[in-house]
Parts: sequence; C-alpha cells; structure tokens
Amino acid sequence: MVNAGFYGWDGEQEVDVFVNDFTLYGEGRDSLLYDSKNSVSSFSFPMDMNALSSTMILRADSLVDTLIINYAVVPVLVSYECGFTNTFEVSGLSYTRHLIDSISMINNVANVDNEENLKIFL
Amino acid sequence: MKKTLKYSSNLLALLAVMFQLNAQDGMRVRGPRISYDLASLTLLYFDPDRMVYTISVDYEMKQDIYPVIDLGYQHVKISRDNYHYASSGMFTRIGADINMLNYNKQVDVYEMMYVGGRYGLSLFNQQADNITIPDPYWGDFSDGQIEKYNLHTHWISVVGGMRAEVFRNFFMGWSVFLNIKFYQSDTKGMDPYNIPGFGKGANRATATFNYTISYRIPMQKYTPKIKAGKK
Repeated sequence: MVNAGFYGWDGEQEVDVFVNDFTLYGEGRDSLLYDSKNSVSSFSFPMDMNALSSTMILRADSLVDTLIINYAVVPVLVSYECGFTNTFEVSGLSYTRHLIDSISMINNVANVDNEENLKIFL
Repeated sequence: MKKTLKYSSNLLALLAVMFQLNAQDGMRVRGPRISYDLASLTLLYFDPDRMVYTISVDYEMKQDIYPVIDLGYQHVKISRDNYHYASSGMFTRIGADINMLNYNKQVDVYEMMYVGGRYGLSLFNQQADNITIPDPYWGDFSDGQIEKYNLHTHWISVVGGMRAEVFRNFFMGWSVFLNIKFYQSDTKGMDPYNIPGFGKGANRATATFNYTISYRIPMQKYTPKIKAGKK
C-alpha cells in the first residue's frame, strides 16, 4: 500500500491541497478504489503483489493522470500466528502531467503503516 | 542367551569396579559428566513444530567448581495454510557452575545446588515458502518465498539448579536459565520462531528450563582441599 498526499506551493512553503471529484483505480481493474464527491487531500493505493509495477489512473477536477510505480516485493513476517505481508521497495516512478506537476518520493518503502511515501504536487 | 549373560556379567563387573573406586574414604571421584536434557521431550506436547536435542559435559575441576559446555541442535518445521517455515541450527553454551551446598564434613557427596553463568552462541538458518497473502483487489499473492539464509545470536545466561546422585555416578537434576541477548544478526524482516538454545526469537530476554539425566565417567580420584566452613 503506497500512501500519497496532494501538495501545492504558496510561494514560500508547501501546503496541503484538496481536490474534488476524485476517482482512483488500478489499470485493468473494474472497481474504483476512490469515488469521492468530497474534497480529498491524500489517498492509499494497493499495489499488485504479483507484479513488479502497478499503474494507477487518478482523476480529479476533470483532469486524468496515469502514475506507474516500479518496485520489488519483499515478504515480511507479521507474526507466526497471522503469517506474512508484503512490503514494496519503490525503485522508480513515471507519470503523465495533466493534473500532476511533479512527484517527490519521500519514503521508498511502502508497507502496512500509514507513513506517507509520495508527495504529489499539483 | 549366553552372550547376553556374558555382557551382563561384564557390565556388573565394570559397575562393581566403579563402585569400589567411588567408595574409598576421603577421596572424591571425578571425571567428565555427560548430561542429556529430557525437558525437550515436553515439546512433543507443547510445541510439536519444534524439537531440541541438548547434551552437556561438565567436569569437577576442583571441589564445587564445574566448567561446563552445552551442545545442542534444534529444528523447526511449521506448516500453515498461508505459509511454510523451516529453521535448523546448533548452539553452544560455555561457562561454569559453582556448588553452593555445604558438605558438612562429607567428602564423598556429589549433590549440588548451584549457580552459574554461560556465554551462548547459536548458528542457524531459516526460510519460508508457500507464502500466501489475500488481496481482494489485484488477486491473491501466492508462492512467495524467503530463501534460506544464515543467522547468529549471542547471549549470556545466569543459571540456577539442583542435581542429585540417584545411583553411583548417575545423576538427575533440573536447572533454569535466564538468558539475555546481546547480539542478533540481521533477521531480514523475519524474527526467528525460536533461536536454538535461547528461546523465542523476538524476545530480548528469555527463561528456559532443563531437566537432565547424567552419567559421570569415574576416571580419577583425588583428595580435595577442604575449604573453611565445609569441614
């Protein structure tokens, strides 16, 4: 699960940005992960554990972008009672720039905690 | 039948010689004492995924002081619906026990109530496969694996226990080990299920229990220097 937030720049510092009419889904999947009429400033995206990259399609404010994340899948033990989960070591990003201006990767290890991995500047 | 009788009579003769060696007044018998830990048999009931084999050798260097070395092997095999896990490895503990009992003028007594210390080292490996993780969005992850890799753990132990001579040269006893880990090599995201000789892998400190049967090989007799207060 990669965690991302939307940011802008007010001339002096970065600020949180809210987007409207936000939808998000994985390429090749039918169901939407987000379909929100409300303002959204952050989201989480589950990555495909059986692949080395995942593509997300995100739409907000009538603009659509595609974000491709490349990674390595690393199994990590949760407990011997529960079993394992996977962490993702992100190795690269590519994206279109209709809504997105730039993306900063602040933590390349995506796991089960809520720590932010990507700052998406609009 | 004749062979059995012959071996039996030889064994009895050997035991008689050993008994005579022990029975000489004013002398203590010493020799390497080999112990086997029976407490691991309880794992068959309490933790059937794991088995441990431990032997110890101690030697009465001088009265009341027993250098000791423990050697052991452990293997673990866990099969669950969502993963398989395997680990195996050996451990050694080196240290000494000090007998705290007052002999009260009896030289030829070998009962012990002791405390001691050990340095422990374990070298082992672990691996996991058939890792399955449910994913309702992209589809379940299956056949994940963590390839076999080696680890090592270092710890110190404080030991306390009792040991009684139930027959000549045959002993039974129990001991409790309080273990504190001071170095663990990289676990690579998978805390060991159980570190051989130490205990639960995720813990910094553990307590382990041993119940041993022992046999002392009576190789030597000597006259101990009796300490003040012990005779």
